[in-house]
Amino acid sequence: MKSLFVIFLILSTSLIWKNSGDKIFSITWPEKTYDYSVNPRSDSKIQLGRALFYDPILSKDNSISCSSCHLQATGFAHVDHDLSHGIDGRIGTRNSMALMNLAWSTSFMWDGGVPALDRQTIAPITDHNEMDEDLKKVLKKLNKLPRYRKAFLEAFGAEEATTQNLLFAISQFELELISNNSKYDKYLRGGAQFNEQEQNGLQLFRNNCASCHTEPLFTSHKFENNGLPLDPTLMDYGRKKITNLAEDAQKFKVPTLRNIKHTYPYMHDGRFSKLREVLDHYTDNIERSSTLSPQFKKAIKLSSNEKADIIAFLFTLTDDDFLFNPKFGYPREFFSKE
Amino acid sequence: MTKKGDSLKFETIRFFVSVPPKNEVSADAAHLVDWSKPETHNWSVPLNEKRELVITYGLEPLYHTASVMEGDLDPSLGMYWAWQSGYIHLKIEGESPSANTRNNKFQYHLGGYLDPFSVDKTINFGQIYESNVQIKIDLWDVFRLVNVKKENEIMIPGKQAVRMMKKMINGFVLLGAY
Repeated sequence: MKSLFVIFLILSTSLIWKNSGDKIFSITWPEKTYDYSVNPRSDSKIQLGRALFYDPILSKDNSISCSSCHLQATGFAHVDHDLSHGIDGRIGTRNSMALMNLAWSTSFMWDGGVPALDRQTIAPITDHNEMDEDLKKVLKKLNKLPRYRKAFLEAFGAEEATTQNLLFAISQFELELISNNSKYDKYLRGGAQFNEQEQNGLQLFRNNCASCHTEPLFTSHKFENNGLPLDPTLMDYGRKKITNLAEDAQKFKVPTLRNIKHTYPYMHDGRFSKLREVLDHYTDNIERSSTLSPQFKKAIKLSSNEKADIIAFLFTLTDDDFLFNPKFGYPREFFSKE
Repeated sequence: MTKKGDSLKFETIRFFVSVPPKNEVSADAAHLVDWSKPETHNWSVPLNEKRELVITYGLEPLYHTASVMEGDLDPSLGMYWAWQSGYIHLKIEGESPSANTRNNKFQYHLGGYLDPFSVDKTINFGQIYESNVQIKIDLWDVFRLVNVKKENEIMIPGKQAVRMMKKMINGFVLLGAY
């Protein structure tokens, strides 16, 4: 009876955070959306997935890996590149997305064209502007290498790599990429203090940004038109390409803001390199159109100082434990064998 | 020669038939038929609780979103789109002098599982008491309705794909026991 009581206490304190304004503010993480029942978590799958994530063998000329465009130290985004790159110097049409907290995602890619994490990797492997490789050839290449035969055997009980097991392994690694230990997280748990600017920034953020960038994941997982003028060189209508519905024109997935200090450039086409430019867009340059998100019906007004405060708050979303976690880095050991 | 005056030569005819999933997808419940592989022309299908034969021409939405990618649902078999995840329900390719395209090719890749542009069609053939039934895919019947001169390339989901699939369904007929 006694131990039961103790457990209850710990649970309840972890669910209710004390806001510094003496207001109780509770933020609970939702349930993961990934269905582990078809692909149960295992360390050997995670390690295999990690090796695959860092191995250029997935690309046609063995030159590009997932990590080429998803670098750990920048929140698994492609720092300084507005559009993602592929083999032969080919350039894609969108900014590579930051990878974190994918276990909670409900769809993948900027347009949500991929409905399940397990099916996502097929897109970059086969896309002409990315790895441009055939899935069967990837499997053939992997099955020739003893280190992969051994790793697939350990992970799935079968030496021979299959499409499904390849994808399941990469998912397992990506599902581990959880960022939940930023200063913001510590502040909510009562383990860190916000200065006045950060606190004000949080308030302004909640008043102006949080309806789409919903805490604690900082995304609603929805598709919105945030008033960006169409880039005539890309003519990218976003979600509409997937649904074929006019009402989805220029809508893109609301991205997470976690680790945003490092995931620049911003927006689906990487058009802004600084957070200040992003905020200036929201206050001054929203393009009105029929599909504009209703959140912008009332203009967002922020002074220059208020923008600085919001940015100070956004910097508290940096999670160094995530960005520098050696478990997510290049698996030197795996590749040094043989 | 079809009624529309097109002479056609088929190179690829591949399509999915499947049993509608209840809550879970199983790779055994989907089958890829390939004209060039006679061994794919037979398929054992379970009847439902009412002894009815219910078959989907194509794959119902759950097949496209579930994580099961084994057997005929393996995305490496050339019946899968990555950019907009989802299986191509039916692929017909060939040549026709009527097709004013490169090498006179016509290509119909019919896909899409999101409403209102999903193209899969589930058909209940009613109660079945024979253990072997034959389903006929009558391309003569289908291409009676297709104007290869006008429509020779469909590669994305949308209205055109839905319209074409409706024509294809006309050729999907239960012949009965054999």
